Amino acid sequence: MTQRARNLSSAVMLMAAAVYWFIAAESFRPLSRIFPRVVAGVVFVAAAVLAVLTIIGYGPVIRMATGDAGERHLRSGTLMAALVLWTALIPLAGLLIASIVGVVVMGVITFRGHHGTVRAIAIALGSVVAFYLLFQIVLHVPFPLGVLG
Amino acid sequence: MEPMLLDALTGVLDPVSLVLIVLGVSAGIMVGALPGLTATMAIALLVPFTFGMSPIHGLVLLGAIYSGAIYGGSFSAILINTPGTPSAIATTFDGFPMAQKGEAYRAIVTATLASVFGGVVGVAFLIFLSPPLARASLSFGPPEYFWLAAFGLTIIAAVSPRSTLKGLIGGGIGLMISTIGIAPIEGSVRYNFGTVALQNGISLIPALIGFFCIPEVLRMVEESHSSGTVIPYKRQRNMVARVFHRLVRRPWLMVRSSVLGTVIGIIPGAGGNIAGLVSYNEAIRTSRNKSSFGTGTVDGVAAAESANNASVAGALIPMLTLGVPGAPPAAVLFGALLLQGMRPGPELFSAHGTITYAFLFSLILANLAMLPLGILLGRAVARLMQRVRVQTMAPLIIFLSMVGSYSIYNNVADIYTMVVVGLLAHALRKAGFMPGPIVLGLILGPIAEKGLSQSLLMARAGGSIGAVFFGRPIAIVLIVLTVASIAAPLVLQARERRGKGGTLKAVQELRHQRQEEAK
Repeated sequence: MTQRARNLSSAVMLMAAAVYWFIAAESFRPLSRIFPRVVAGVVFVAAAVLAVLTIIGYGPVIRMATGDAGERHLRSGTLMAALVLWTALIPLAGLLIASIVGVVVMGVITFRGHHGTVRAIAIALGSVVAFYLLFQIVLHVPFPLGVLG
Repeated sequence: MEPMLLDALTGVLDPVSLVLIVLGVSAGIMVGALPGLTATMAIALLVPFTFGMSPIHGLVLLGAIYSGAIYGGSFSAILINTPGTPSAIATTFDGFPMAQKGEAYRAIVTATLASVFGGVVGVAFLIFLSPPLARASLSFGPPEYFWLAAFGLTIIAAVSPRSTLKGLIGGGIGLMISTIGIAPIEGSVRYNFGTVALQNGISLIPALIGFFCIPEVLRMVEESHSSGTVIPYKRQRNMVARVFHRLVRRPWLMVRSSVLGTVIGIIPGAGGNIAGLVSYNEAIRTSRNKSSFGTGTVDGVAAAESANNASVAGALIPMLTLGVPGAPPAAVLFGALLLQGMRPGPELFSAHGTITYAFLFSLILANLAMLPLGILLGRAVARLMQRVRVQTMAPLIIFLSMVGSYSIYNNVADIYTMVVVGLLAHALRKAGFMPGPIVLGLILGPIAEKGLSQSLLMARAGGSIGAVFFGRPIAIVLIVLTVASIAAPLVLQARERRGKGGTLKAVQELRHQRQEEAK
């Protein structure tokens, strides 16, 4: 996506969010609705300025990361999906099992193409289990066990 | 000496506190030295570890990590021309050329001594300025707090590294998020989208972890590259004494940089990176040998490092006295204070005085500890930078983020909050909205809203709206500062367009040149 498209799309989404924030405030009591409406107004105007500046060619420039864009998007996309999977597994399998699965999946994505993938994942898994036990045994944190736990 | 100060000294000099200072500074140096790992991330991840500690020990550890990480950024700036933390950007200008000339150890010793000096000066300001400022905050009423929050937000936008407009919008996004949950006045439940989890608003610590850890992890995996070749160095005898004598002959440079760093640290949103750049700029402007800057001069490293470490304490001054963090790591410390049941303001220096002063004294010890630890750990840190790919730490950082978010209230919903906020922050970062202004908006939102609502009630009860908002002396000063903070960047941009950018422009060009060389 070009910088211009990023600026424009973010400006439009922010304007839409500001409009929602403003309209939804209608159901609040009078003093509770003033501040959200003021903030929504400021964000709407600032986002509109961003859109106009971008259209006339004076939009802020965002530094883009260097390297293969496709590879970068693949890495971050799969990592985000793994993060969502990891989170969704917690109520089902508990934090420990979900984290073991999450670390393995994330490790495969993160270490792909590097030397010593298995060793790196093993170290990450060992660290996760060690921290889990530290929190549970020493700091007495009752971690969720999940419906399967 | 007051009994409270004696108790604080006793608290900070107990063996556990001293061990925590050594551990915190050492860990901070390592985190700071690894590009991709930031001071804010380290503090956010460590907050949960402090739950089981006494408030003094918890704050001592977090303060030591903060100081150590800002100093640690100088190692990678000097040895691989990549700032380990944004605060060390200006250190690369002369630190790396010194390393290229075979003077890496000299540069590291300079950075160490300057960091210690800057850090101690900053903490001295913190100790002497905070109590009277906190007392002065008693004369702040709702209108003053409203304008203080407005000033904080405009200054955040003004000093935003990429774009003033995007900084302003970022602050607005933070304010919008802060309105989720029960309203402070009249109690309407707002924007909870029908979920009970959002009824009390967004939990601060999970949100902070989400904002500062998840986008960093995604970025470090996305930009999967090696940290570069580390320039090797050997320790040389008497180097500390030689650099010390050189710096002693530059008292004005050291004092000016440290004071500048502290003052810039106080300004919300202007962190160590701006402190380092402005101080470096001033060092060039006042030097008789301007051409030596950028080629590897001790003065350049000393100016940048004393300023960025002084900014650590500076950023804590508005946080401890007014509840307005000066920098993202201070925002996380703000969350840690709230978790310990301590609210910023005058009470911090009276009811919680022992804990607060112990924390402040521990910052002096942490800065002094950087001298031996920096020199002793230096080569180990260089080896760490050579061997560790920060990407391999991504799964562990995410696990610690989840554990940290969960263990505050033992609530799974906080993990969801952290993940959603983290993914949102990543998307916003891609669009050029940095987490710093958003988080400061999130923290300033409740202050601004309470100030606005109570001021309106005051106006309704007696005075006119104009008299309440624009007729009080402190409010007028804050309004002038707010307007100035909006106007200043516009004036500076206009000057730059007319080719009057001055030495700051030269610094920016130098920075650009270094980045090109690094590529």
